[in-house]
Amino acid sequence: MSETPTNGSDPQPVVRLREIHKSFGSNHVLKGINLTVHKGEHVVIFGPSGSGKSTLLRTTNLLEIPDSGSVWFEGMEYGPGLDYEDYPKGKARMLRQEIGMVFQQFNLFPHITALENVTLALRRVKRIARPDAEMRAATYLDRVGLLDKLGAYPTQLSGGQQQRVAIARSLVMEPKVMLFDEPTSALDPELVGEVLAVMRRLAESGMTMVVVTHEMGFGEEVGDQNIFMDDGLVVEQGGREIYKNAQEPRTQEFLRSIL
Amino acid sequence: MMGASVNGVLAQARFRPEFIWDNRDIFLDGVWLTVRIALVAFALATVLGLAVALLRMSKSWIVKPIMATYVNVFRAIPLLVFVLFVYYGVAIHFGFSTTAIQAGVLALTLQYSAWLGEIFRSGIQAVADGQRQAAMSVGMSRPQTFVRVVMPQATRIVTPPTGNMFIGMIKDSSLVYIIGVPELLRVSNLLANRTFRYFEVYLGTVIVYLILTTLVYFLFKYFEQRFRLVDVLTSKVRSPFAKRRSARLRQLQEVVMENRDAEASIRLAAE
Repeated sequence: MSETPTNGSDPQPVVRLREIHKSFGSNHVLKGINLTVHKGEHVVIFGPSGSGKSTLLRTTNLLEIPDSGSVWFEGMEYGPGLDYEDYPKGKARMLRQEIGMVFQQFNLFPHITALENVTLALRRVKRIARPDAEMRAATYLDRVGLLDKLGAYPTQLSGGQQQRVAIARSLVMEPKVMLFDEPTSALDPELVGEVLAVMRRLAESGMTMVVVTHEMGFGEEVGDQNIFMDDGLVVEQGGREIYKNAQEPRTQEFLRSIL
Repeated sequence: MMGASVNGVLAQARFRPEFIWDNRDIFLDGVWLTVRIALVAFALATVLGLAVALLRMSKSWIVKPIMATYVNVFRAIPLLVFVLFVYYGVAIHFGFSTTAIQAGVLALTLQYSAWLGEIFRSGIQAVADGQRQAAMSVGMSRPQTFVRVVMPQATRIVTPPTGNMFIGMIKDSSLVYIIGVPELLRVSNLLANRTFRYFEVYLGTVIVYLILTTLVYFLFKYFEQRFRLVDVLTSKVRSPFAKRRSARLRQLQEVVMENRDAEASIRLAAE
């Protein structure tokens, strides 16, 4: 396995979530989350449904704006922020260009081809001319093994292929961090493997990743920081030993229940 | 030609289909105005309807009830009553220099903008929320997301009901005959009253409306077919456009494969 970057003497933080609170109506979903993601690190988040994992991920790229707290990203502060520290404020759109996200339901754009799905943001956000954008997009689709599907529309692709296009769509923007929100939960069992394989290779290539998943095997393989969340709080976090040797009773109970 | 108007009841009873053809110029004048009224009113109603749809989805507590009232008021008034109200009740009574045609188009536009606004709103809201999130997650702005992702999908959803509305517009445009606009129904009425050939005249009117609405039906059917999504590379469509598209993609594939070995490419998928 690859070296854990956090072993270095000076781990470089890329994203820091600090004191994140988020409520939907009377439902207090996140109750003060702190999380630091370092360069090249693979964070795996697991826990029962309704524990706030997805909301935490969506808050990280500001698809949800936290009620209070700060998303710190490469020296800039986003969201409501913290009063006692003074970082320059950033715009959500800038942050989202640098942080990629893969969704449980793929969310490919159904009215355009796989290639156009991947070129859209290159052309409209980065203003890259069409020939160049198509070249880059095709290269990334090739990397996820879909060079022969350039002209296919999402409905003509299997779930696993759709999710790989979605991964290419994010990667082509050359993000500093990739977020995965239960990327295999909507897939048929026989299609889970091809998506996990891509994610594993991506992790080996040194990409900084935050993954919400129920695939404990994936965490055991690539997780540098493994986090068990329950009821809007981080209950336990640690290295890969957490899956075999959880300290907290609630973590033990959850791991037992899903195995 | 018009001299043979009152020839006695027996002569009237004989069906003379050629009468319709003989009076084709009168029908054509009427049809031409009907088509222009329907097209202009529908174009204006589409633009206004889009504005209505967007404003109805506004979160403002002041805009929302205003637009809800707009929609409910215009949908509630019978169109014939509304045409009379706009022309005699408002334009003539208050001395606006509005022609009957303009008043008719205005009445049709306002009512249809309310109906179309509701159709467009449902189409926009039918686009899954995940689509907006995905677009924003790659850094697209809200306007970009709307134009590039939401609108094209909503357009496909609203095409069939919008086609129905256009057929409705052609039929409803006949109601402006009541304020003297010489469109198809009005010229038919005049012709029938002058010649007493009611069956031939209204048969002609019916046929012309049938032709118009059938044309619109095929037009929208064509639109729906254009929206069918087929894999560009394996498509059986042999139009020059489709050929160019698939040729470009093949070329792209070749270039990518050639460059594979040149760069120390990161292969993410299992071979």
